[in-house]
Amino acid sequence: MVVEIRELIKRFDGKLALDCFNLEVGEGEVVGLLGPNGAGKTTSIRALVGLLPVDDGTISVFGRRQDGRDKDIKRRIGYVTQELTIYEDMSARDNLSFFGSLYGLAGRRLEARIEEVAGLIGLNGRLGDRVKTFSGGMKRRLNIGCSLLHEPELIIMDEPTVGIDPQSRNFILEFVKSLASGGASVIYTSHYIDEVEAVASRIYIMDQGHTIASGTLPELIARIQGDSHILVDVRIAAEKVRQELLAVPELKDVVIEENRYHIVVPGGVSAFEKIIPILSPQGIVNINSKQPDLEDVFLTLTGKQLRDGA
Amino acid sequence: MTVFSLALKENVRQRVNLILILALPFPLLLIPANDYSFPFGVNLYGMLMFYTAFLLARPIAEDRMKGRIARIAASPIGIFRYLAGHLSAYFMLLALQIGLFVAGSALVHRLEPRAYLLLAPLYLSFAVMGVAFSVAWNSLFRSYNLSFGLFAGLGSLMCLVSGVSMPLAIIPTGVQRYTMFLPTYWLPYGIDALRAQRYPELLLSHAILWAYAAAFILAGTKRRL
Repeated sequence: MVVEIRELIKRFDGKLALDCFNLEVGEGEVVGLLGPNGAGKTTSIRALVGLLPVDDGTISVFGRRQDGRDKDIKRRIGYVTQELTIYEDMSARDNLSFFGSLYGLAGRRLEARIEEVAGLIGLNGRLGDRVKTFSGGMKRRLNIGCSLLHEPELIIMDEPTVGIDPQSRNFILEFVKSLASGGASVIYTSHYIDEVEAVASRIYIMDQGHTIASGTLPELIARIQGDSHILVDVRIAAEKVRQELLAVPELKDVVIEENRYHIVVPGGVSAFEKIIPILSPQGIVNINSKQPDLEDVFLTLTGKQLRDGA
Repeated sequence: MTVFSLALKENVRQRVNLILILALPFPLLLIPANDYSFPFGVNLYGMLMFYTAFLLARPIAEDRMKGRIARIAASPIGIFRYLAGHLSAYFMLLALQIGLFVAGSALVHRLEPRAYLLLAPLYLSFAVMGVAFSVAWNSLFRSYNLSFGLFAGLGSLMCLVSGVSMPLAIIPTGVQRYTMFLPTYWLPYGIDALRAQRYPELLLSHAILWAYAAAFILAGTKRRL
């Protein structure tokens, strides 16, 4: 196991920030930490990196106890901060050179790694330019690149896509996947469900300092019994028809949303053949079927939508 | 790029720093001598050094204020190496400024050579204290602009009442009793001791400036990341 966190407790001024938090990351795995702002993601990351002393619990990284003083552990971790922690008045090359040298890289090896990483983050033509002339997305990519020069085995990314355009965001998400396929383990925190869904092989859902659920996406969906949602748009929705639908034993719930019937069907149950005859006289305009996703999991487990807390 | 070269590069890029280091010491040489002390520019240079030290210490403050220190602390480099890299870069630039001022003073004031041999180390001790004070002061603030704004007032006041920007001789003894607790007091005190050839007192001013420097560095680096 690359990372093993057990029963971690952290208080700030008596207030619990981490409440018996647990986390496991295997080799080559991308683990997503999903939760609203204030869920404890950054606190857990800072404790994991060794920046924050904890009140109780254990953190083990590469099989060794993480207390923030073990330089060998630090050498093997790449930490991508949530804020842009680069030097904007300096060139991209100077930034890469400085952060590489913190990990003991020097001379030709450092130069070679700078070129290599610049290629990976798509900045090879801009190495000599000052960072303050870069777009938000380019700065974010450089922020990531500065953590990769020393070829870390564990990469910890704390909300690496905050405030950037969709194109740069997709670039970063694809890049994270490529890091994992290269053998690195990645911890990726975000409050964007689609990002975590896109990159993580295993997901931890956090709220109020502890893990609510963890597992692969299908496992998490199975935990909420996988209700399917059928959305049927009609010319005019009527309460009488809704009652008719509710009388169908296979259907769990039916809600009218303006001119739409929102029908909830338990997972694995096929109900179209019973719904269509009832709704046909209403004049069906459109039918959509929505399978449960991570947002539904979050909503079910926490009782709130992620964006409410974000 | 090492911490030292980064700190040096960050400072040399700032035009105001270059003016403070390379140009501003020279107008101070034009202040005429009087009967009871060295030419007052020798004291007043302490104020320039104090402000220069504050501006040079900006990168360390910004590393903390912009969160870069978290990334640096997560790397295998120790806090001692980080601090040593920064402080030695600032110290080198201040040493250059001191060298220029002392050389200029030797040409203009033509004091006896031994005075310069003793004055330069006293300036260096004051420069170390000035950098350490800036690190500690900046650690109290989240914004460099606010820190600088308040320092501009406080620094002037400290220099004024402790004899750096006003002759110590005209400060009432009653006030001196309190101003001796200010770190800036010990530069003019040392300069007066040097002129009067009271060498134990000169050594005392060195010792106190270094003690203040140590205390300020400890206070400035204790702050949570």
